[in-house]
Amino acid sequence: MSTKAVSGVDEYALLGAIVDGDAKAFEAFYKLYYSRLLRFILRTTRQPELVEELIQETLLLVWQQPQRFTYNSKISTWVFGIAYRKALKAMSKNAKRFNDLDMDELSETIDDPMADLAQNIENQDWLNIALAHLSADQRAVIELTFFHGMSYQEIAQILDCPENTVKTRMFHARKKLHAFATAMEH
Amino acid sequence: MPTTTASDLHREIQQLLPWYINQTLSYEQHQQVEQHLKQCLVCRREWLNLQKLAEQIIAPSDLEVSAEASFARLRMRLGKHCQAKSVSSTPIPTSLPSRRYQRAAIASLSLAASLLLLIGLSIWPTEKAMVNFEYTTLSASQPIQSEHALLKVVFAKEMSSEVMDELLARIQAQKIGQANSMGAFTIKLDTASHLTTDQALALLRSHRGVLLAEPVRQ
Repeated sequence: MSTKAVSGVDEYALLGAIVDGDAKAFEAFYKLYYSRLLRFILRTTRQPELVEELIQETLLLVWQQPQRFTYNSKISTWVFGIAYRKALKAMSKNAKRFNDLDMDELSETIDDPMADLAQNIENQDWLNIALAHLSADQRAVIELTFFHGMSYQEIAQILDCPENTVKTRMFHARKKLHAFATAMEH
Repeated sequence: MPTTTASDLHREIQQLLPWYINQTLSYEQHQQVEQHLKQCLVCRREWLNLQKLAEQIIAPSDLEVSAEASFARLRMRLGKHCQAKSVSSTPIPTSLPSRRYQRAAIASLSLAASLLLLIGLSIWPTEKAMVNFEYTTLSASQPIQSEHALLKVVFAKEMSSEVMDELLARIQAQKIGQANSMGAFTIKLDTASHLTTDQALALLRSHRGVLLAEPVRQ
């Protein structure tokens, strides 16, 4: 199972051209990363209103300061790391609205996990409701692992934390999601 | 991977399962997990559960948007500042304008850009010292026919259904079904709508109650 996009594009060549100020290379780079970042930021923050701006700020930083990439990681690890830090910063600014999207469902499912599940199963939305129970960093670990197909070492670099912390976050996230999945089956 | 007891190994393997599934473990770790799965029913069950979860996680997102349109908006936001960095020209601003400003700018700029395109002018400098983006307006980025245009729209939570309906009536569009889990509605422009897809998008984005409006790729 691999969700890694095989774009056939040489990202390193694009980044080299960006260093030289090649705007066309930047446009190609932007389009290469746009959908990946959109999904990652949306899943991590659960705040659609932040997504567009965060993608643009992340990729604008690549355009403005490509020399920040030091070749100590993959380019994708560097870009996702920028996006993750920007997402956390934006979420802390919007803390009072954090996770507002599902607060109604959440308040009910916390009291009774079965309360809204039937309706959400019909909508095939149980996963989104379940993900709302996770912290942003747990959602990021889930998303980067299963959707973006990254190793725990890469995720540790993106999240700027020890590798064991990545494993622990994943473990706790799995347990919470499993509880929802079990409730769904019964 | 240092292990001391069977239970330590079991716990270690359990933690590695997600990366066994996405096939990013080292060869040694992969072999170790594989061996353990042959003997451990608990881990095998966990592995199957995780595989199901992985399939659900990678299901396609229902909030499709266009990178093309997004890049066109970024270029508009940067405007005349998009110049080659190598020449000591005006630097690209380090912070972007606020969303409210951005919405207003998008609406006015897309109109201006369309007019410029009509009269055959290019707003980009032609000197080699400048970056020569191949300028395309939003109206050129997504050649979607109005009569079949589908849009994804996320309204602000505080927006009443009356205001929502009034806005949709203005652009002559209908909601299709309910909002998805992320609050996004699918909107279809009426065949009789006098607006193009991009005009409808610009109008939606200029409304303070609209958080996100994007064309759906078809």
